[in-house]
Order: sequence, then C-alpha cells, then structure tokens
Amino acid sequence: MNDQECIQAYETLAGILDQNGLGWVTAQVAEQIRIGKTIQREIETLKEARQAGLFTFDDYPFDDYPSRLKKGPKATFPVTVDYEPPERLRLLIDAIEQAIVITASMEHHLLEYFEKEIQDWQGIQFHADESGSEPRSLDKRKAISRLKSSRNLKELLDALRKEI
Amino acid sequence: MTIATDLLTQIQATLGSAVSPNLTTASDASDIFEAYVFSLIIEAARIEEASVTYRDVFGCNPSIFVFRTSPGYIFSRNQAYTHAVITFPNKPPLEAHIGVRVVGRSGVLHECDVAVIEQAEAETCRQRQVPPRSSKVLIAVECKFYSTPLQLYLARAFIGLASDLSAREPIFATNSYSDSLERLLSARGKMWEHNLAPSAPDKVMRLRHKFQHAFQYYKAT
Repeated sequence: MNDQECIQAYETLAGILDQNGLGWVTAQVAEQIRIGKTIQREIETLKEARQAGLFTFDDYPFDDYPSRLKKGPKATFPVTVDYEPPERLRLLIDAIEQAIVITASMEHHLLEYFEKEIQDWQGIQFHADESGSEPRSLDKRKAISRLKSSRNLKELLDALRKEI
Repeated sequence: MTIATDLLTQIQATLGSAVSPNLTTASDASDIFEAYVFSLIIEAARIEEASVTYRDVFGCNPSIFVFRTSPGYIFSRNQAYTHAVITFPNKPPLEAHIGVRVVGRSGVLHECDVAVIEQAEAETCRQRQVPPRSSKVLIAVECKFYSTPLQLYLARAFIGLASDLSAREPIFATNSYSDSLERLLSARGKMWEHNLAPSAPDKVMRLRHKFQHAFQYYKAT
C-alpha cells in the first residue's frame, strides 16, 4: 500500500470504529499520532576548542562563539518525530486488536476462571458506586460468540498488516 | 477491488459481532482489565496454597460478582461489591479488592485499582466507615488499559503514587507498552509488567510470579 492508500484505509477503519461505538479507540490513536513517535537519535555534540593561553571575552565576540566549537563526542537523545501514514495505519490496527480482540479474550478468561472457582456462579457485573446507575453484565454465551468473532477479526487485521 | 479494500469490507462485516456492548468507553475496557488482573492475583494466591472465598460488603457469598467501575470506599453499601478472602495457613486472612480508595503516608486518598489488604484492616474500615491505610496493603496494582502505546505522564503519576503508598509491592500493570515509560519506571526501581493478555502467557506468568512473591513474603513473615 502506498501512503495515499494507507490514509484511505485509516479513514475507513476509523469510520467503522465510530459506527460501532468505539470512537474512544480512534481518539486514543489520534492523540498518539498528535504526540508523535519517540525515537533515540545519535548526534555529534559540539564542544569548545581548547586554546593555548589566556583569552578574554574581547578576543571572542559573542557572535563568533559557534565558530569556535569543534566536534565533540557522540550522544543519544530522545526526540519526537511524526508517524508516517503506514505507521498511523499500523497504530490503528494495533489499537483495534487491543480494544476488541484482547478484551474479548480477557472477558472469556474471566468467565471461565470464576466459573471454575465457585459453584452456581452466574457471572460478572460492573457497577458504578452512584445509586441509580445501570450495571454492565458479562454473559458467557455472548462472550464465547465474541471470542470466535474476535479471532476472525484478528486474522483479518493480521492480513491487513501484511498489505501495508 | 484491491486486497486491502476487500479486507476492509470483511473487517466491517466482522467487527460488529466481535465488539462487546461493554466497550463503549475507554473506562469500560479498563474495568475488564482490572478484573483480569484481580483474577491473576487469585490464581497466584491459589498457587501459593491459599484458600479463597468470595464475599460482598454485607458478608454474603455472591453468585454474581459485582466489580466497581470507578474508585470507591471499601465500606460502600451502594452495591454489593465482591471481594476475595485469601487465607494462608496460620496467617491472618487477606482480602483482594478492585477499585478501592486507600490512605497514603501523607494522609491523602489514593485509588488502588487492585489491592490486597489485611482483612483486619478491611473489617475495621467496613465497621468504622474509613478507608484502609496503605501500610496495611500487601499488594497494590495500578492497571492501565490503553489501545495505544502509553504516555509518559502515566509513569510519572505512578511514581508519585508509589512514593505515598506504604504497600510493599506497588506494581504498574498494562496491556500496552512504552519504551520511555518502562525506562523511567525501571530507573526508579518500580515494578511493571507490559503487554498483558491471555494470549501472552509469558507476561502473565511474570506478573503472577510478582504476586506469588508478595504472598511468599507474607507467609514467611
């Protein structure tokens, strides 16, 4: 895929996420893109050339100071650079995998694990402390179905990664 | 139609059935992750030969586990939140909780995403309507679920939190990763685990070992 195709694929995927109530995933990826990618850059530093004898500031006017510097030792610095379109698309694909595939596997793990832990166990609810709030429930039958779909989704995401 | 276009069409058709209705906000995914880490603590306790039972704030055995979606007080009776009671032979029992507030060394309140607390302290707090002291917290886990690489401020916040907690083992656990964040946490001697997922058994095992180590220490002292 060239850059333009990556940009188009990104937009299409972002639209799919928004349609499915996963705008928060798109927002996290957009924020990451805004921040940029941190890389380690090795550069040659500059240091003052050693001069024999004493000197005064009058000998070296301020404007000439850079010309008195010579190559120093190399050093590594962290810097932030922009993500390229293929990298942006990879970020979004990775984010979809985390948000959907990984959470589906965690849900499934939880339901399987606690079912073995106690008899007559009926599931998990997530509930805010505020009175009047509605709980969210994890249902094993739906979790199994989601796990299967998420595995199909992972295969598709892996195939798309290979196209980049 | 290109291969990529075809794949995008298939992704569109598949994604809907793979999405949990429990995932409409970032914090929904965090709730699942915290519960997942909670389950790893229970696994670690069992490996270390603890007996584990489950209770709610009313002292009942829950058939449905109720977990917090936002930080709350251990004594809250708004919902029948579930905690695990972890008992090692000849040792005072412990309790594992999700999303409870604890008091730091400075006297301010912090949230522990997942915490293992001495049961005597937990019981005191339920009876007296106060939050547990962090000196009575054996394991404190800061859980971060992100769909993208983690930002550095999360490590800064964790270092601040850990400096005010007396817990022996504050651990930063995430499904994600970040070279800078891991570098900073390592430089500050903080424990962390990254890329956690059921599909990454090596990472899961490493985190579980950290919990096991904390329990081993507790049993020996």
